[in-house]
Amino acid sequence: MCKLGGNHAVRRQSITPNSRPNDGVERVRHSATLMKAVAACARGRALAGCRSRVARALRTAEAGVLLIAFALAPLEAAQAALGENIASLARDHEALRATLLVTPMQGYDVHQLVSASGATVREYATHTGHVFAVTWSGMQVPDLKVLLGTYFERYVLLARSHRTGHHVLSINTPDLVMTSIRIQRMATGQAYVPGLLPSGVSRRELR
Amino acid sequence: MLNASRGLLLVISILATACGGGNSNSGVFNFGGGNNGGLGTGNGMNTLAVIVDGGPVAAGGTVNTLFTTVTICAPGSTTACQTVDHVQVDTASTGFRVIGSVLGSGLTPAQLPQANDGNGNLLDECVQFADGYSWGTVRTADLIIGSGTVAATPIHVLGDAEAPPVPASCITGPDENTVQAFGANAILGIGNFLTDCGMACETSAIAGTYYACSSNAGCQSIAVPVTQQLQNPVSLFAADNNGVVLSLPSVTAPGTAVNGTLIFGIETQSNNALGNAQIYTLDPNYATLSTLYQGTQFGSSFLDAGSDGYFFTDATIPTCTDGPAFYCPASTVMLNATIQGTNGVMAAIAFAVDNADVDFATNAVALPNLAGPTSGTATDSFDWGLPFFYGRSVYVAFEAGSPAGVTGPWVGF
Repeated sequence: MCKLGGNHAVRRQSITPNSRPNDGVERVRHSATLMKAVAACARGRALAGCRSRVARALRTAEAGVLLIAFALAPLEAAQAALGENIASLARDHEALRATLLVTPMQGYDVHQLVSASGATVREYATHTGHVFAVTWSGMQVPDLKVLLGTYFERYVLLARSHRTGHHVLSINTPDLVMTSIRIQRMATGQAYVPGLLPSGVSRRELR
Repeated sequence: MLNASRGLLLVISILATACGGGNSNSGVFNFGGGNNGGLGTGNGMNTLAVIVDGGPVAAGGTVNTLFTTVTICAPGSTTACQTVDHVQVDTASTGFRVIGSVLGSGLTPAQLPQANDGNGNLLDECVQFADGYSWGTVRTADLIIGSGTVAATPIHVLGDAEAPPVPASCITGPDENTVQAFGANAILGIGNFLTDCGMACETSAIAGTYYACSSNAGCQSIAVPVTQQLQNPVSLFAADNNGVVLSLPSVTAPGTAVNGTLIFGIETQSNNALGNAQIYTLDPNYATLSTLYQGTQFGSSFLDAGSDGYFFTDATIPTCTDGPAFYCPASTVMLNATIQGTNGVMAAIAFAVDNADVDFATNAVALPNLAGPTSGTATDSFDWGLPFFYGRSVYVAFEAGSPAGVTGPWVGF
C-alpha cells in the first residue's frame, strides 16, 4: 500500500513534451500509459510497483503516442472535474510543461499540477478517485469549465447575483462552497462539494 | 452623462484657473477629505473628484463602489469625444476598460482605431475577474482624467459589437459585457502595476488574456509586448505619475454619497507628500502584503478600493443565511488585525463588522463595516476593501518608481 497518514510518499514525474510552437498552435504529448500508471498509484498500489510502473511509462512516453493540438492554457489539459473521477486524467490531454505530483494523504489523494509559470492546480480525490475539491493558485484563473465540471453552471448562476465586486467571489451553499480571489496578477481559489468530503477530512486541509 | 463639449469645457476651465498658481477651481470638483495624512491644498491641478454613490442606474444599485468621470477621445481629436461618468476607480487592477454600449454619444467605438501588437495582429482581449469575464476589442484612444491626459493609449472596449465571438478559453464564469452585469460604465485600473499583464504576456501567449482574431482563423492567444498592453493611465501622465493617493472622509454609519479625492503623484506636489503615513512594501509579483488576524497569517493580502467590503476567513462569525456572501453577526463586532509589508513595517488596524442584512436594509450606498467570508485557508488572503479607505489617505506607489525613496510597488497609510 502507498503509505497513508503523516508519512505520505511523494512521487514526482516531469512531463517533457515535444512541442513545436513555431506554427502558433500548442501541441501536447498524450501518454495514456503514464497517466494510467499515475492513476493506479493513486488507487493505492504497492509503492515499489508504482514507481517502476511510472518510470517505465515515462520512458515509453518519449516515444510518443499522439500529438494533439489545442488552444487552451496548459493546465486544463490534464484535469478531472469536481465531482467526477480522477481516472478521467488518463483519457484527458496531457499538460504541456507541467509537473504532476500525486500525494497520498489520510483519506484522500492530492493530485497537483504545476505549470512552468508556477501556476498550481490541486485536485483532491478519494482513494477510489472521486474528486471532491479543487484549489488553484497562480497568475491566471484556470479554466473553471474544466475544473468545476457540472458545478460550473451553478457557480455561474450564483456569480451573476453576487454583490461582492470583481475581485472576490464567495459561494457558501450546501452543494458548493467556493472562493475565488482575483486581483491584477493573482488568481487563487478553491471549490468543494460538502457532501463529497470524505469522513474525517476537514475543509481546512484544502490548500 | 455629460456631453463631449461640456466635458472639454470643464477641462479648459480647470487649466485656466490653475495656471495662475492659485488654489483649486470653481467648486465643480469637491475636494473633501481635509488634511488627512498631512496633505496640503496644492494647486489643484493633480486632483480628481471621486464619489461613492449608488452607481449607474443600469447597475441596479451598488454599495461601497468608488466612481469618477473620464473623457475618451479619438486619438488627436477634440471633437470625437465622450465623457463617461460612473467609471469605477480600482486600485487592484490596471488599465482603462469601458462598456461598449456606453459609447455612441459623441464617440463611437469605430472612431477608435483597433490596436495591434506591433506585428500586424489586431488585438482583442479577455479580462477574467473573480466573478466572470469580459471580452472585447483593444482600441487606441486619448484619455482625459481630470487634468491628466494620455495620448493614444490602448483601452479595452468590453462587449464591443465589433468584437468577434468570445473564444472558449476566455469564459471562466458569467459574461460581464453590459453595465448591468459589470456594475459600472467603465473601470479605471490604477493599481501598482504599469501594465495589465506584464512580462508574462510578452514572453508567451497566455490563454484568457490577449488574442489576435481573424475572420478565417478565429481567435488565437498571442504574446503582446508590454508597450502594447493596457497601461496604467496615471503612469503615462506628463507629471505626477509615480502613484496616486486616495483620500476619503470617515464614514461612521451607513450613509449617503461620499465625496473624496484622488490625487495624482506621490511626493511630487505639496498635496501628495507622505506626511505621517508609513510605507508598506509589496510582493513585486503580486502586489500583496501580509495580514495577521486571529493568529493566522494571511500572506497574500491586499488593499483594494475595488472591493466593496472586508473579505477574510473567520469561521466564528456567522454568515448571512440569505445568500451567505457577507457576515451577519448578531450585532456589530469589533476586531483587530495587523497589516505587515514585505519590509516588515506593521500597522495595527481596528475595524468593525456589521450585520450585513441590517446594513443592506438601510439602502445606504456607503457601508463602512461591510464584510464577508472567504472559505477555507487555501486562499490565504485578507482583502482590505473600500471600508479600509474611509477616513484614510492611502498611497498607491507604482512599480519601477521610487516615490519617497522607496522602490515600488508599495502602499502607504
